[in-house]
Amino acid sequence: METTKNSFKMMMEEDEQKHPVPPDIEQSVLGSLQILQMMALAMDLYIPKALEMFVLTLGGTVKELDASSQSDAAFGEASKDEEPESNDFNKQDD
Amino acid sequence: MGTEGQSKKADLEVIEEYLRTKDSKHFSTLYKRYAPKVYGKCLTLLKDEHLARDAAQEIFLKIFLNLSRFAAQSKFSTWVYSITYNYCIDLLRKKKKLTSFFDDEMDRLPDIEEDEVPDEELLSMEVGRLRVVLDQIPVDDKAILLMKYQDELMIKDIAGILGKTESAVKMKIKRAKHKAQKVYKELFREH
Repeated sequence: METTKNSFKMMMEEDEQKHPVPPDIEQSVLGSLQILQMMALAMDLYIPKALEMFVLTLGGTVKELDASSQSDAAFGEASKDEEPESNDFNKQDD
Repeated sequence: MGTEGQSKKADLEVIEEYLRTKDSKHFSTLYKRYAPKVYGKCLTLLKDEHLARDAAQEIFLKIFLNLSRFAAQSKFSTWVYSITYNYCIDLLRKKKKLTSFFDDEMDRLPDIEEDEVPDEELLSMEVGRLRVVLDQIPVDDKAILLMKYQDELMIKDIAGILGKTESAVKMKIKRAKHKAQKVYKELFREH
């Protein structure tokens, strides 16, 4: 679009001078952004806790989950330890 | 880096730095570049300072929250304007100021037989008169003329913003120019 004059652009320039942007918008947007970023961070940190709460509301208990996962782990370790012994017994029996 | 250094940086560089650091300095740089244009468009389309203020605030929040999704396939300014126009169009739709704002009818518009109004006729119009003319035509016609002549957006970009075909956009622009010309002649008695 080759033209030396563009009334649309001149109108925009006039409007920008006549109606400057209210100064409080920038701080308001920045403030909202910071709040949203903090909320997102908090969500990241507390989503595991929120899941626990969900489990609790469904009737489960978080301690049971922890305990069961711990006992599973313990059982796993114990069985690893026990297996060679049983093998040893077998060997002894043989 | 001072403000001067920031102002020389391309939009993309500032965006990358903002996304990496979330530093308000980079936010301010982008905001200062686009706030007058975004606020000006809101004011032109919504014709209410209070609405325009709230709209500009929401638009900038949208822009910065979605900044990581900006794919740089178009210019940043085009992306900013598309969010601005879409926000204002949605707001006008919700307020039911226009029931047929860029509706499906636009796709079915038959070609008008009149000759195309030369661009120069609109571009060389006295600013005060142009303002009056734009206020007299429907807001969707006004918006599409602003996209074409004020923001100098490509037809494909306008089509993308409005979710219409390029041929529908061309026809809408042609009709909007005719309406503007007609109003101009009626108001300023030039034949």
